[in-house]
Amino acid sequence: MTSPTVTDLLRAARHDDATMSGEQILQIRELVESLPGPCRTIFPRDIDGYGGPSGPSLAMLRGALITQLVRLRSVGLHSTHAVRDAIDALESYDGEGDLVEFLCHLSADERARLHADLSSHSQVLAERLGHIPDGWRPRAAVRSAARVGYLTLRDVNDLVVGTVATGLALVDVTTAELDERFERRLRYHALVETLRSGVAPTCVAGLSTSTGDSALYRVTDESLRLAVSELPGVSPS
Amino acid sequence: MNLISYRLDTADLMAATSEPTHEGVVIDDARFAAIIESHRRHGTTPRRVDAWTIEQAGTPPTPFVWSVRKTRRTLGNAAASLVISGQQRTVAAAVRAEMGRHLELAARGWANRGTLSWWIAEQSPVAQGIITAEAVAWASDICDLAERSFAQFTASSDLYIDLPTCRTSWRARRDLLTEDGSVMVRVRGGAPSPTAGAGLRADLAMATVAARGEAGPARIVGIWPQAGMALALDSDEITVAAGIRDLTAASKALAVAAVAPHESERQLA
Repeated sequence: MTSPTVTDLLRAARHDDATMSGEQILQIRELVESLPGPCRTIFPRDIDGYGGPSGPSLAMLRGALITQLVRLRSVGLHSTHAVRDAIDALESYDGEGDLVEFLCHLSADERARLHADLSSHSQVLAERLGHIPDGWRPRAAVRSAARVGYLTLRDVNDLVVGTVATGLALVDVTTAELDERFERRLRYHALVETLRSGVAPTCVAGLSTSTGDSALYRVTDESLRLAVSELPGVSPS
Repeated sequence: MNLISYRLDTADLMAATSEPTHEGVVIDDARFAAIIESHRRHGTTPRRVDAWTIEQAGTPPTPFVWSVRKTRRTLGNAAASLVISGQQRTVAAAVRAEMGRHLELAARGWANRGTLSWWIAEQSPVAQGIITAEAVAWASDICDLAERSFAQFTASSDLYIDLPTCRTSWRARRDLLTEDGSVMVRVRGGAPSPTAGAGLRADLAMATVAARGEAGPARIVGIWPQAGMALALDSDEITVAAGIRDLTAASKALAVAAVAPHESERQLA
């Protein structure tokens, strides 16, 4: 028996009722508002420790190319030449100039490595993400931010399905493993979306294109409180 | 400026877009003539002014070039309109229909060089996929907002106002409009800048002038979905007058820059 794709997991969770009341969401917001200063901006990398503010790297480039493939799949474009298409997509998108320049300056050895890496990851993506129906309103690489109290929380969701009115699900596609750090990142996605829209997503899902593992977590009051306690500079209560 | 800030939760969104209790400002013919005259005073070089010009303090815009991100609003709004009016069932199908329309225009040779249809047709299938994805994200935000708001919204096109005899055109951007036209909504990417209020005020003033002889919108709401924020500005005489003053000043700045690009900063100072 084949293991379920991310789409299968989302389909199973789709009709679940929302687990968070308006009162609970308000309490989460108040909890973040009560965090002490100074003013600071938090990025996903501050939560899981992956990546950094320094210049482009091969890993960052690989992640960006996988994101382009997710973007193409979100609109039903299932490429047969994944590596070429991912690079084409990255080059066509304005705002990724640094990475495109970095790509142009790769050595032949680095290019070959990237090519092999990307082929493998894209194959896993194609097999394990599944076909997401148009009716779920999928959109990829969605940026979001929430300014609450002293904090500005910034985030990018690889894939968002559903609507605020009918229930949202967030999907993170990672080239790393689904470990504790990744779970922390998923909780952060849920927290930022809750603070941004005032509605908690029903679930967050993750897919590792390196191992093919996928997981889905329900968003609960407890998980959001945990996400608040995991913000940098917040001492666990 | 009486800007009211809202979050993007459903209660706040409904409050921001609820029917205003007051009417919009009326610009009569005499006042319209005065606006034209104030623009003529600064010359008759061709000028295009929009809220962005105001937010950039009249800095002349760089030459326009299409890019993936610049297409998302045009395509996304057209697609959202198809979904909201019930002509298409899903956002993705609506965007594909809109892309198809542009490609057909280009294929028939009806798209001039530099137009969106021409530019899309020049792109590779992969780039067209990325354009589609960006437009789907934008249209989804518009549809989501329309579905969550209390008011009945229709997706709207921008307003173009040509000021006769002074070769100046205004462009008021609007993405959603209530059925009675009393609330107009602008949707924008990113987070509001410190000059976002001035931009909203300019859009409100332009829409009020466009409705010449009748009441303009009573409120403009700027929504930044990515930041989960909305800013609402109610229309009154002082606000509209300030908006028109900003438009006139921007028009003057553009005229100065067009005459002597290198001297413009010194003269404006």
